[in-house]
Amino acid sequence: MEDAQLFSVEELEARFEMESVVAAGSNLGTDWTCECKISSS
Amino acid sequence: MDTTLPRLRDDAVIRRFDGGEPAASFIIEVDGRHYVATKWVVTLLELTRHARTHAALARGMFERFGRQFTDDELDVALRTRIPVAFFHADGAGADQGPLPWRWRVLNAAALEPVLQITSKLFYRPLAFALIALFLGLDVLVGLQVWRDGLSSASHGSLTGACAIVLAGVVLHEFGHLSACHRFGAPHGGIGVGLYWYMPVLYAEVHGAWMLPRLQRAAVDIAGIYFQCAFLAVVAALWLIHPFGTLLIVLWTSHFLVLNTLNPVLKFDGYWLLSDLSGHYNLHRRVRGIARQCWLALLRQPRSAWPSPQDCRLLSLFMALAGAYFAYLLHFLAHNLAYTASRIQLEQSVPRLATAVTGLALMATVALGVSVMLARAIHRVIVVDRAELTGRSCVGI
Repeated sequence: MEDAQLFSVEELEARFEMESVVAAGSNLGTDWTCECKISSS
Repeated sequence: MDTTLPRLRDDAVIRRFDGGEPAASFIIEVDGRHYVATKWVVTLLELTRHARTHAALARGMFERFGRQFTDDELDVALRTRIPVAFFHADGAGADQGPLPWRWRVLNAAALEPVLQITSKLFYRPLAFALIALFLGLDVLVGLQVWRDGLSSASHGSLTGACAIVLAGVVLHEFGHLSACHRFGAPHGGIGVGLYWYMPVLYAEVHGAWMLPRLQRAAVDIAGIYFQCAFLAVVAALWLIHPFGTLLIVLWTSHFLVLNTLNPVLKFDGYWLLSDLSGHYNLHRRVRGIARQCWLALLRQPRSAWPSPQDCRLLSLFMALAGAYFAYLLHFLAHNLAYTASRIQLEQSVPRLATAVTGLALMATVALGVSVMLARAIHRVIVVDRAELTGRSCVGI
């Protein structure tokens, strides 16, 4: 093994456990409306 | 050669590291930062506590490993491969992590009395009972929604729902810290920040690196465990009194939980995948594999295709990332088009102002996500000087 591998050190990433407060796709409403008219002619 | 030997700091904490790679078998903690290191590094560092000369170091290394090192080899290792932070404070401070902006709301000391109580929720039979209760109630809610639809949500209060959802997210963060407290890992506080243009709540659990792999995974999943216990209460209330507000809370919180399970961004799913697979610094590693593939495609000198195991990891990650970002960008584009079409129809000034603000916010998020994606791809395909010169990037 090369010395570079023998004496390898790697910093670990900081651990932040995160949760987003907005989520894509969580809209409850529909994005369309339906209108119905009855006419007598 | 400088004959004065650097000496390992007395406050450095060294433990065995429970990771997937045998070469990096120790973890070293200094100033709240964590490093993985080989047994060679750790032995050399320990020897600096007592050795006064390079010859004494070389003797110690020979006794331990049966291999001769020259004074120069050990000096180069100490001064170029090993971070100076192990010998004296370098003033770098704690890693900012992936949050360009963050603000700690509660520190560890303020949370301590609460965590003493909440950490008892990791008693195994109680945990199984709470999870089973959540799943049972969730099925009942699902059946009722299947039968009656989501129409009752239209009568709910959006502001009230947002407040309850936020309470669930706060509990989620308490879950992570409670698990740290339960397993005896040092931890920080809770705060708010911005990640990839998304407002987030976060818990500082850097000390979890010192735990065994399965306990780290328990810290990762503990947030969802607490949030699910909270949702079980909300679901029970909704089944008794089907208020629209509660349905909005249930619906939105499920999306939040699914979002946090995705392993592409640094949410809970990322840490869970990292800890269960034993691959630390997962983003950096995936980027390195992708870059290796790119260099091999370009037939650069000294380039080689990654190992089959690395190719599998890259393929899995790319598939998940592709699905997540395709969904996210589709959702944003769909809602941008819908909001833009609504602006033409709005008659009242307040509603018009709300729609325009929403449109601007969504456009900003869409732009932000696109820029971040472009930057991630750029970091893979732009070859830096170190790789062109073939310099090893194993050491720091």
